[in-house]
Amino acid sequence: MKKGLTEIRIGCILTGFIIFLALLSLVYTPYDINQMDTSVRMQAPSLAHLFGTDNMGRDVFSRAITGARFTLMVAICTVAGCTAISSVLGLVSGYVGGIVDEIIMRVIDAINSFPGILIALIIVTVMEHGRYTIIIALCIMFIPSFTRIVRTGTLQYKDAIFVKSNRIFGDSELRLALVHVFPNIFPILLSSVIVGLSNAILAEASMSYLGLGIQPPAPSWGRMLYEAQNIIFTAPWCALAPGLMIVITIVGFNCIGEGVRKRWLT
Amino acid sequence: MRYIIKKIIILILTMLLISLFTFFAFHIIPGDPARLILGTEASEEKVALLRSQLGTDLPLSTQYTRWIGGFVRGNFGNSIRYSMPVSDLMKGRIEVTVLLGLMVIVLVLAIGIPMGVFAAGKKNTIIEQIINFFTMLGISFPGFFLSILFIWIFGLILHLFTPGRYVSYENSWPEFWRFMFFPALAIAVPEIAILTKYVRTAVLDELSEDYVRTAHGKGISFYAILYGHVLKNAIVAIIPLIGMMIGSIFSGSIIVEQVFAIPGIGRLLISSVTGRDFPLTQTLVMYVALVIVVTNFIVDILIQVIDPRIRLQGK
Amino acid sequence: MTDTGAVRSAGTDKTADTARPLLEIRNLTIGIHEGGAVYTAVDGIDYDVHEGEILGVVGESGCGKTVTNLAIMGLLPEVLFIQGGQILYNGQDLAGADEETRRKINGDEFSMIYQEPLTSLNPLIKIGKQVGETLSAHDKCPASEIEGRVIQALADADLAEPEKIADMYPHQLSGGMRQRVMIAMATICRPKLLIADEPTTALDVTVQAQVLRLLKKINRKYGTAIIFISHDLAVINQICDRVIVMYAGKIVETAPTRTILTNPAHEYTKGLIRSIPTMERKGADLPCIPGHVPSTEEKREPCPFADRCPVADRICHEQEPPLKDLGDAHTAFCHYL
Repeated sequence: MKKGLTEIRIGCILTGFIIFLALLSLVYTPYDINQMDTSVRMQAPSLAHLFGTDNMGRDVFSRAITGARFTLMVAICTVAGCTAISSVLGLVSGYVGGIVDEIIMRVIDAINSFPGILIALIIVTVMEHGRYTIIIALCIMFIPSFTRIVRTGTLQYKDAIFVKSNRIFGDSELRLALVHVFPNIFPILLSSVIVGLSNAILAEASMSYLGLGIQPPAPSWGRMLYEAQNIIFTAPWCALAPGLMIVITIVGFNCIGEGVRKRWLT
Repeated sequence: MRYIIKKIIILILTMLLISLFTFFAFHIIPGDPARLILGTEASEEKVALLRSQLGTDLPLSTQYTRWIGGFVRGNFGNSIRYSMPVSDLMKGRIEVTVLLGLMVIVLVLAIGIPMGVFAAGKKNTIIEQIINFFTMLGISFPGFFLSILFIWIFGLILHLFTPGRYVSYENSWPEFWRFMFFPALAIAVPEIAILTKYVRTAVLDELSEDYVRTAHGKGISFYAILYGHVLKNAIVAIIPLIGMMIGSIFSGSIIVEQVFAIPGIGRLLISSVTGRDFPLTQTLVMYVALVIVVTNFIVDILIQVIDPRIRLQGK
Repeated sequence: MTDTGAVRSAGTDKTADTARPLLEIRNLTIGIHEGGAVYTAVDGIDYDVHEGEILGVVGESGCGKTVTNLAIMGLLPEVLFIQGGQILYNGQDLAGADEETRRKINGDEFSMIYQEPLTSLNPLIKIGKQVGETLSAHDKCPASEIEGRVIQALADADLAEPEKIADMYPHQLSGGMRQRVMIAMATICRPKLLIADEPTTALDVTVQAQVLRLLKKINRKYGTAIIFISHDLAVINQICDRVIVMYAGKIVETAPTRTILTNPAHEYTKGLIRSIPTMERKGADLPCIPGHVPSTEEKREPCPFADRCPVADRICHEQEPPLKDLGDAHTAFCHYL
């Protein structure tokens, strides 16, 4: 049996399920996500309300799948942005070397010595709270580790035989970096991207829980958990639905990441 | 010794960079921080007053040297929101966060290391699969969700503690620990999962070393080899990880303090961020970053002390 | 292996009259798991080790000499396993022995030293403690006496200032000192058998001679039998009473050391001896055996050496070579003797 395939399969099923729900929310939700109905407050899960209702009578299922969309969007934008910026930084740093490398790596090290959440907190303090701020904040939070990975990969391949031979054929350094070096970093970058997605989801949920991420009335998993906290005893489903969806998504991405690592990196 | 001096220089450089980073993060924002704090409706006089209070009317370099100078002398400036010295606000809260952090570390080490060793001993068995499953779950639970579950299950259903009713250690140590146990556990769970994984890998790596074969050749039993030979080497291999955990334990405690309403540094930091209390946030961020950088420095030195190979190279 | 009786009678001149060998290897076959398939690493070999002798095992790397001896110690790595045959010691078959039986024998009655003394010692434990462990693992003496016996053992291994060395870590010692420590550790319980796996290969030539002298001293003083594994016939010549030549998982020739060097029978042995550099041949091309040892995955001929043998004929590719007794404890497997 091929190594890591089981993990990738399980991961794809779990994340595929969540992505399906998130996409579904674009075209259909059983109820309006902001529709309050005091006659059905804190109802337990039933056929009418799959995941029950919250203390304002809103349908938890509709909100949870819409929240999935918002959270996934933030995570994907974050990782995409961060991968793009880090790839440039890492390639430049590894390829040019010398003083440029030194400066980039020192700054990266300094950012890295903060716990990620502190960076995110600084940024949300000085900018407007909201979806775009959180993307920028998380992006900066993840840039150090991604840059490091790209740089290490660049260093590893820039003097490899096949790169040298193409250099002899007169390929420009830019072409060498983009066509011959960068693609070789893909496998390791791929596994970082997947793990990055799960970290971004965790971070976004945490920030939204603290009220610093996606702002109400837009639903997000983190915010739903915050609102559900005080009614956990009477209406646990309000917390369990978004909480378990977070866990499923993260387990899914981690499984894929683990599988990719086992399959291509060992 | 040269290694330590080099480390100290790097430490000082990092601190300088951190201070610059923190400072400029709060000063390169477009617009006027005083305006941002008071909002667009505030009168011009009020904004001007706050500006001079914050010192933002001075040149940037003066502001920076003033801030750093104060920081070094222990004068952290005043909080806008609470209108009192930041140092007074921090007093009492630092101890709470530090105690919480220590409890987390104890839990992580006391559970993570034995589990990792156990998992290594069960390689290629169904038990290994089960442990893998739980470590995967452990790293996938967000701290705040776990905290809410703990409040619900252990607080509201099993009544092992009273949610929302923090007991200061000044009143009662046992009650304090009783309240703090579940927050600590919530922070610890993902770290335990990570440590278990690392210890398992480290132990398996060590078990394939030549000296283990020698030990078998001497007639030492498997468990004596595991605990007498392998464990020590494996722990040396994971100390850097324990250093890195300090940062994530603090990150965890920022959020968990919020969920359990524990009056620590994390909760103060969040309230300063939501209240846009710039001087307070700036100082807290700087302070926390320093504590983490210094702890990592200490861990680095600790490795030197434990590992005779490095210890003797320095001489 | 058809005629095991001949091997059993093939003792050395020194121990020919002793009734029973210390150790009898009978039809030992060792398999290796590789990528889901099982191959043969050691193919049904027989030999004896007599009390107090130094037995050399020689052959190119990959011919199974280390694996065979790891099997005697029960130290085979996970991928290797005993497929069949017996390892007889005191009337007991060690091939299928449980872990506890092995543990009791290892370090006490059998011991082993290795090629790389640095990695074979635990880097984080002091020398004294590592040497003492052999004693405490077998309850040889009260805890209070261990330290003294460790120091004595280190001194016996010709280490100057044994007290100081006992308090040091492995990386603080030179390669030769580490190997002496290994020897002290392996012989502190006065084992009946010491397996030395290329113990001098990683050492300087001068140190090599000292370590060989030390092994010989231990052999004389305590009557410890030694299996000395080496790819270097020159080293074997310095220390061994009797030699086994192995090739591709099989024994091809067995004889007293002098016979092997002066009158080799098997073509492989002849090739090995020709490739020893000597003063007389200085300047001339050093002869070597063309080809390479077949890897475990490759198909093996009935005579494993057939592909590289200058005198090989069709029969060598079709039939297993018979065991020929050449007299004076000299035996070889070859069709053309």
